Amino acid sequence: MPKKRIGIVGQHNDADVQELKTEIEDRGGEARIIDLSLFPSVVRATISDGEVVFDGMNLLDFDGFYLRRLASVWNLPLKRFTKDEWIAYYERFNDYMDTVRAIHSFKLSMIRVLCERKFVINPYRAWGYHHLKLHQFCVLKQNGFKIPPFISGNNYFDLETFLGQREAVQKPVVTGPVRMADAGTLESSRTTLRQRPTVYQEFIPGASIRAFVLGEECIVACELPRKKWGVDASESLEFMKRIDIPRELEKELVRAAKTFGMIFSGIDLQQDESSGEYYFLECNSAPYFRPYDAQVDAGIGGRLADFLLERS
Amino acid sequence: MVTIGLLGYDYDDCVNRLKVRIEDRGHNARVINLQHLPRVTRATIDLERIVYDGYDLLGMDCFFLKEMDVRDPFFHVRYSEELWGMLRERYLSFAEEEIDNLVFIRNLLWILADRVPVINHPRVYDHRNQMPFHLAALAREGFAVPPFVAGPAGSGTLIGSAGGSGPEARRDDGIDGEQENAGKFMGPVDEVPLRLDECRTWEVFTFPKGEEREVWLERGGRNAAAYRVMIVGDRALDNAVFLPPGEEQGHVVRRAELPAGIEETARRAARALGAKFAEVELECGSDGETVIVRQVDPSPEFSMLEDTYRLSISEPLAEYLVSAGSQRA
Repeated sequence: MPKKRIGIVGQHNDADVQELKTEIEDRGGEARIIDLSLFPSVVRATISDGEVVFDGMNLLDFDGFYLRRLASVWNLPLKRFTKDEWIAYYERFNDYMDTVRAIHSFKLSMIRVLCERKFVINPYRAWGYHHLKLHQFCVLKQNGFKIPPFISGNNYFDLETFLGQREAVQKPVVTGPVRMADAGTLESSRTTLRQRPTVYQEFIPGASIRAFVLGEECIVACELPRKKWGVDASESLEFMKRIDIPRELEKELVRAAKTFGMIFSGIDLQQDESSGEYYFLECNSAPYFRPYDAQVDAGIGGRLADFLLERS
Repeated sequence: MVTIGLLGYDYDDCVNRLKVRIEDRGHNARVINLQHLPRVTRATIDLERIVYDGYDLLGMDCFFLKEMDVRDPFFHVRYSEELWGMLRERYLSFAEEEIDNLVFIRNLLWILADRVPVINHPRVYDHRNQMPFHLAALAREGFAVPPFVAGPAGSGTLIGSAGGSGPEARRDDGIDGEQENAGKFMGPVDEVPLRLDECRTWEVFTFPKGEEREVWLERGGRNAAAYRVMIVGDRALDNAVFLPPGEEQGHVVRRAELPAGIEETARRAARALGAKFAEVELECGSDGETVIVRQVDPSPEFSMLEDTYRLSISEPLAEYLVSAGSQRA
C-alpha cells in the first residue's frame, strides 16, 4: 500500500509542526512541511486549474493536510522594518503594498483550493473562526452554549457601563495577553480606543480548562493553573493537570466544535467555582498541543496523526 | 418603510447613487463607512446589538456590501527622503493597530450577516480578493473558465492582479511590466507639503495604489466577443454589455439578443457562488457552444457601467434591497 502523504502547513520551527511530522513518519506516513512564510522569496509556487505546485510538489497529489498556520495572511505588512529596509521602500511603498495584497490573495487561494479538493484539518471555513472570536461568542450563544457576557468596541461609555456591572477581563481582539480589567484599566486605555477597539468579558471565578476535540471525541481535558494575568497563554503555559470531565460535557464539546465545522479543536472553558457550571470561552481551530503532550502525556499529536492517516 | 445600510465609502458613486434610489422610493438609506472606525466613529458589539455611530445596525432591515476592506497604508504625498525615514515608527504603530481594526470589522460583518440580509455576504465578497481561488471554484462547479496560472511573474497574455480588483494590462509587446516599472512611484501624487507634526497617523497612511506586483494571475487572453451580464437577485437585468473581440469598450445588447447559454450561465455562476448581485463576464468558446465564465464580480463598479452604457442597475438593485428588507421587516 502506498504511503499516505500529509502536508503540514506551518513553519519549520513550530513545535507542533515538528511533533506532528514525527508522529506521522513514525506511523509509516510521509509528512511534508509547507511553510508559506517562505513564499515567494525562497519558494516558488503556482496555482492553475489542475495543479497547486509548492516548492516542486503538486499538493493535489497529497492525501491530506493539517493547517497549523498560514503565515502573513494579512493584507498589511506587520514586518518590523529596519531603517535600511524602510529607506529602500522610499517612493515604492505603494508598489510594495500591492505585492503584499497579491501574496495574501495567493496564499488564501491556495489553501481554499486544497480545502475544496482534499481532506484538510481544519476546513477553511472553520479555520476562519480563528479571527472571528466575537462572532464565535454570538454563534455559541445562539446554539445554546453558556458564555460569559461580553462587549467589544471603542465606545468608552458603553465599556464603562459594562465594567460597572461586573468583574471583567480585557482580551485582545486578535492576540495578546488577557488582563483583569476595571475602571482604572479603561481610563488608562481611553486614548487608545481611538486607535483600536478592545474586548471585555465577564470574569468567571473558577477553574480554567482546555479540552481537545478530534472528530467525534473529546480526547483530553486539562485544568490550567490559575491565570497569571498579563501573560499571553500562547507564549507561556505552566504546569497543568489532566482531568476527567462529565460525559455530558464531552458531548457538548464535540457539538461546539461541530458548530464551527472544526474537526480538531482546542476549546477553552471556565468552570464557575460557585455553581459548577461550565462556560464556553472559545474554540481554537489550530490550537497549540505540544505543551499538553509534553506535560501530561496527552498524546494529541499521535491521535491527530492517526486521524489524518486514516481519514485522508 | 425599510432602512437599508450601505456598507461602503461615503465618497463612492455607487453607494451615493444607490442611496438616492432607495430614498426616492420612500425608504431610508444610511451609508456606513467602516473605514471611519475607530478613529472617527465609535462602535460597540455585544450579544444583543451592534451599535455603529449611535445606530443599532441590527435594527436595520437589509445591507448592501460595497466595500469590506479597511484603510491601506498607501502614501498620497511625495515625501522628502528625510521625512520618509521619520515615518517608519508611525507605520509600525499603524499596522499593528490596523490588524485589530480589520479583525473587529470582519467580526462585525459576520455577526451582522448572521442576523440581517447582507448583499452580498462577506463570504461571497471574499471571492473578489482571492482571484485564483475564484477561478478554481468556478471550474470546480463545472463552469468553463479561461486557462489560468497564478504565481511569480511568468509568461502569459493577460495579467490581472491576484487580488482581483486591479486593472488588467495586455502584455503583448514583449515588455516585462515589472522591469519597466521598477523604481517608479506608480500612484497619483499630490504635491502637498506635509508637516509631520500636524498630521495624525491615519491621515498619513491613505490612498492610491500602484500597478506593480510580484505575484501575478495570468489568464488566457480574451479572443472572442465577451458579455457583461448584471445579476440582481436570481434574474439577469434586461440589458447587458457586448464587448467585441479584443475591445475593452462595447455597446448595449438586449437580453433577448444574447447568444444561447449566456444568460443562463451567468445566472447559474452567480448562484453557484451565492451572489445575489454580481457582474458576470462571459465569452463564447471557439466551438461556438461552450460559454466561458471569466469572472463573477460580487461588488462591481456599477455606476461606471450606468454612465458608460446607460444601463439601469441602481434602480433594480434598490428595488431588490428594499424587497429583501421588507421581507425581514
